[in-house]
Amino acid sequence: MSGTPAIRVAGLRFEYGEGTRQRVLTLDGIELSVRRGEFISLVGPSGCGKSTLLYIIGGFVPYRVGEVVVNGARVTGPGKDRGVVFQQFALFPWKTVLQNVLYGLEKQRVPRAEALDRARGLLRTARLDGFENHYPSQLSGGMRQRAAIARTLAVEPDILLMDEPFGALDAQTRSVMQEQLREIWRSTGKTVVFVTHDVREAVYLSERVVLMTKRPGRIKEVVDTAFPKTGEMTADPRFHEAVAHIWKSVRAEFEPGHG
Amino acid sequence: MASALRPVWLYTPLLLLALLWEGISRAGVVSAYALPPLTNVLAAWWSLLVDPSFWPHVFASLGRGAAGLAIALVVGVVLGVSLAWSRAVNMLLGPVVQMFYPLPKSALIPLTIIWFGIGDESKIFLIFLGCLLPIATATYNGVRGVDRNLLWSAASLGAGRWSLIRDVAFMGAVPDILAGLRTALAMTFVLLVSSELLISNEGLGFLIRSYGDGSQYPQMFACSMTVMAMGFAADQAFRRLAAWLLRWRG
Ligand SMILES: Nc1ncnc2c1ncn2[C@@H]1O[C@H](COP(=O)(O)OP(=O)(O)O)[C@@H](O)[C@H]1O
Ligand SMILES: [Mg+2]
Repeated sequence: MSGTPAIRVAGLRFEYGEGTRQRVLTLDGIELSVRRGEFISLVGPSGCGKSTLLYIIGGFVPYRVGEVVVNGARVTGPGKDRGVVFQQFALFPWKTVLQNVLYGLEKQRVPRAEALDRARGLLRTARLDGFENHYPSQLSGGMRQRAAIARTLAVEPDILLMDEPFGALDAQTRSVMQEQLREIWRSTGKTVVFVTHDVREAVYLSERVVLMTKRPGRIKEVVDTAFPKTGEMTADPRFHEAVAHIWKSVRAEFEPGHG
Repeated sequence: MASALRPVWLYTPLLLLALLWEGISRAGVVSAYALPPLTNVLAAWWSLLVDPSFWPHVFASLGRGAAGLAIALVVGVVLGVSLAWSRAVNMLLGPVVQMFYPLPKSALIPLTIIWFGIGDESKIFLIFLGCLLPIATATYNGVRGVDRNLLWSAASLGAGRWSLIRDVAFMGAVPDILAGLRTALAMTFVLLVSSELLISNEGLGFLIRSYGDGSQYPQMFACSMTVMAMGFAADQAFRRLAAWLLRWRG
């Protein structure tokens, strides 16, 4: 079992609006394998299909051509083995923070007392105790995203799919959240697929950075970034080399003639 | 100081209107038949309010309005959610809804009377018809506008089909449903009174017509004012309810 990858994508080709005039070839020939417990980032020019690939792995967007296999089973829809975190948090705005975190536990029929215990514990870890009965609209962006991550972690998915989760946060909040995500990853050993357009963030957080071409998205290059990291502001030359290399490669996708 | 005076300023326009009404009527600018002095109307109103035979008409109207609106709310929400959620339902019922939408429902009053007689059922049915589509279309738009990331989040947290519909699609549509309900509430009073005016043997609309036919204009005005007061109270109550239901909004 530990030999099978957490995620395997093979020969994936995807069009939006298939069979219509406005069809858009979005992904073409995607081959990707993610080890159990690995942290990878997807980077590439805007519109290249990073989110689409993540949504297909999540089972939200159905695909026809190719294979997407999670934990040995072909993806046919969403599942609680794959938790998602979106840029705009996607908390249920009509539920309080606690009710949001409880939602998945209720759907899993976790007994009430145990669910409350777990939810409160997660909120404490997310430093949201005292905000349990606040609505998302009453929280800052960073707090909302911590609540959203707590909600996702509550059902204990072994894979986290994150679509630019820190993209809407200010710089300070973002670096705090990066630390916390690394800590979660280190302590839980979850597999993480992280979409970002921030190359430093990608290099800092992940063990491999997957670079995509402009649309139709293909995998252009996979960069190994598994060296020890001290922080995004590190002086480690490997960090800077990786960032510079990836930047150059992404920028090449914007050359004249490209959208 | 200013805040203590606010209620006074708030009601000044109403007071001016009342004075104008009284003045025009007393000065004989229009005949006292066409516009009885306000003080006469208020006196007539008072004597109606203390007359026990007046209240059954009020309750008859209220009951019809509440029943028609309540049925329209339930059916309209179910219809709107189904239209938004299911392509099959949309293909089947979408064209019917679109055809029916622009029809003024008061045009159906004679038909409802043929079908249901002159009692409660014809009024309730008419109000139901009139309120159904505003509520259904508002619900439809609300469900269509629900953020797909909310649906996806719920699905990955283990929500099945019914949970998605109830917990996310419906809940996400609540602000729109309330907006549709407010339109429907105003529609309720319009259809209630016009159907009672036309053919009925009780209710406020019936009283308005009877007093009008009997040339008892102060009483007739007093009944219209009762309708107005009920409409105002219903809208105020609705606004409070809506504010409470939407307390999660920033
Ligand atoms: N629902 C959709 N229908 C049609 N085209 C879409 C849809 N969503 C995204 N696209 C198109 O697919 C391409 C990839 O989008 P996306 O996966 O969001 O890219 P990225 O996340 O890399 O910026 C873009 O050209 C976008 O316009
Ligand atoms: Mg994207």
